[in-house]
Amino acid sequence: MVESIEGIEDILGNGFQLWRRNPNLALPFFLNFVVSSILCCIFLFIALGLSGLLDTTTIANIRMIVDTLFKMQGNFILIPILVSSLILILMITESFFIAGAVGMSKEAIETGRTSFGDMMKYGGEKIFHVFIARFILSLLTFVLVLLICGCPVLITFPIFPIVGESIIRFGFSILGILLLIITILFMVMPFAIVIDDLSPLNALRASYKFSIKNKLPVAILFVFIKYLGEFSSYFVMFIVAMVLSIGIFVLSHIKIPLGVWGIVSGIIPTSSIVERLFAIFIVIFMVAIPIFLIISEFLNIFVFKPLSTLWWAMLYISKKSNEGFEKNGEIY
Amino acid sequence: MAKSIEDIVREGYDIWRRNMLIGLPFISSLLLEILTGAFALILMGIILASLNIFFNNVLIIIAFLFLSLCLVVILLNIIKSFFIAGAVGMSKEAIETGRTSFGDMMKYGKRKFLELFIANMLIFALSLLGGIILIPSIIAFKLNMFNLALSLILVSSLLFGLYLICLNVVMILVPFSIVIRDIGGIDGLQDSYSVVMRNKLSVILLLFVSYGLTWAAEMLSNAMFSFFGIIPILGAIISLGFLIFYALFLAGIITPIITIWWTLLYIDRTGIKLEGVSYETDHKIPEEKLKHIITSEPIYV
Repeated sequence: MVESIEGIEDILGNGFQLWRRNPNLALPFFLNFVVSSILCCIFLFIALGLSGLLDTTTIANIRMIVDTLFKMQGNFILIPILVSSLILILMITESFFIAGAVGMSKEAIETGRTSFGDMMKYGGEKIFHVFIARFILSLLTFVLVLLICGCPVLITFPIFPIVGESIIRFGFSILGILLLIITILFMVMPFAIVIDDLSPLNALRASYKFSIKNKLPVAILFVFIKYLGEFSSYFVMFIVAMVLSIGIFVLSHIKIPLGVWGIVSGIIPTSSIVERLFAIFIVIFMVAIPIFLIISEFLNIFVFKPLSTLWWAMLYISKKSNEGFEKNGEIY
Repeated sequence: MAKSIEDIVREGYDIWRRNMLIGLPFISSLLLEILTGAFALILMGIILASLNIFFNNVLIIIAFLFLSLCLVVILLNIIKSFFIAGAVGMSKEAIETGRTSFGDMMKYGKRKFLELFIANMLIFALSLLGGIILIPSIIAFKLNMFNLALSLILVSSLLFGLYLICLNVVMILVPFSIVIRDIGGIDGLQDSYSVVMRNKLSVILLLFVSYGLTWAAEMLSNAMFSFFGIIPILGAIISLGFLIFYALFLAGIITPIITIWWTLLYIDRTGIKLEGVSYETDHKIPEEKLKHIITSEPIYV
């Protein structure tokens, strides 16, 4: 399928066409979303059950929940263990789906078609390598955060509080730049693992080398995906505003049940029509935020993540094939 | 053969490194605008004070303020147009001959600033025209239909914003059309529109790349500012100095590079041959030859 990829524009155009022909590329991301939300729910229930909050016979109101939360000192060790194990399990499942998605885009690029079976195949094969590489990366990030933000603060804050605060700010800005650099440097790590069959450490090295060697295309693609997401959020906002305005129009014409109105007027005293409208506006705004989040999450799952995975895979394969051309005199 | 964005970015950077003088028009534009603004503000203050003494009429003062504000905006726009035309001309010369000079800036600035100014005014008028979309909500408000007005104003202001974004993207090549093709203001708008529409992906890509460059500069400057914040008292003075340095850096380095990129993109995508005025895309027969073909009698031997 990849005949001649020259510039970023060709990659973007071809990738878009390929994505349109293979909408099932969104499958791993969707499944990842479903699985991780189920896992989060399960862990939430386990945590609640351990702290005795699920025992509905003893708990009557919110006040009692707060009381129980304050009382459970014995669970201070248990909760961190639960949270860290949740993060670990989430990372493992995510690794499976990342490997699957990369494998699917690889198949799509090479043969033009991809299927659910590809996801299972590549996910099952590469889950462990991807997980280990991601684990190493997150350890690195954690150490960086600790070194840059934690240590200076711990040292300086008790002695010079004012200076300590500005050091925190400096640390955060430096940390932002460093995290960005790390993200860009190891962006193609899963692609190196799945497409080139590398071991985790070799994949990290290969990804680093790849990004250093192809600074410009990598930076351009990264920036493009970043701003595409930002601009599309404007359109999502637009949809939400439509819903909002229709909601305002409809809600101000129907009779609102007294119970609902009581809640609203508890927050804002409503007497004149403008104040009533303001109250309705606030209520609908509360509704609009979840709608916005849901739509943007779905857009992310079904459009941006598959597309960007495909683009990165195409970039990786095309640059690698150029390299192969230089080495062996024939394409990859 | 069209260049890819990577080539344009790389080549533009090389050209900028060989001709750092391209930063000059932007820096001088910035300085001159600040000077003009400050001068106009002082002058307005003096005149306003004297008006206040002689005429005790609010209406006159408001009219004066409005008029002088318009005048200042127009003056600033003329200055900006002059230097932008100069900068585009400089980058065109740099791409064409590999070298550029201060004289190029003056030459292109003088020749093209009026047309660029007209085009800018037209774009401004077009963006005001988009304000029509807000009228229904105002009418609804006047008719005391508050709920309708509220819902209309939400949708229409977002539509207005969308319109402004699209207008800005479509008109992004206007200075390049006017200076490089050597055409008038209205033709420049048309030309920019058609070129952008033919190369949507490249234009958006380059737009995002230039945003990315500015974003990176901003991030670095933020880090620097927060670093100066650590120094107790001297830090404030240093960061003020750094602010000036940062403004000069943006005007003198980042903007010229972006301008060269756009010039390269425009020249590459329209296929203009720089030496003459002939275009690669439409193979027009020169007029003299055409006349000759039409008027010449068949040759009987």
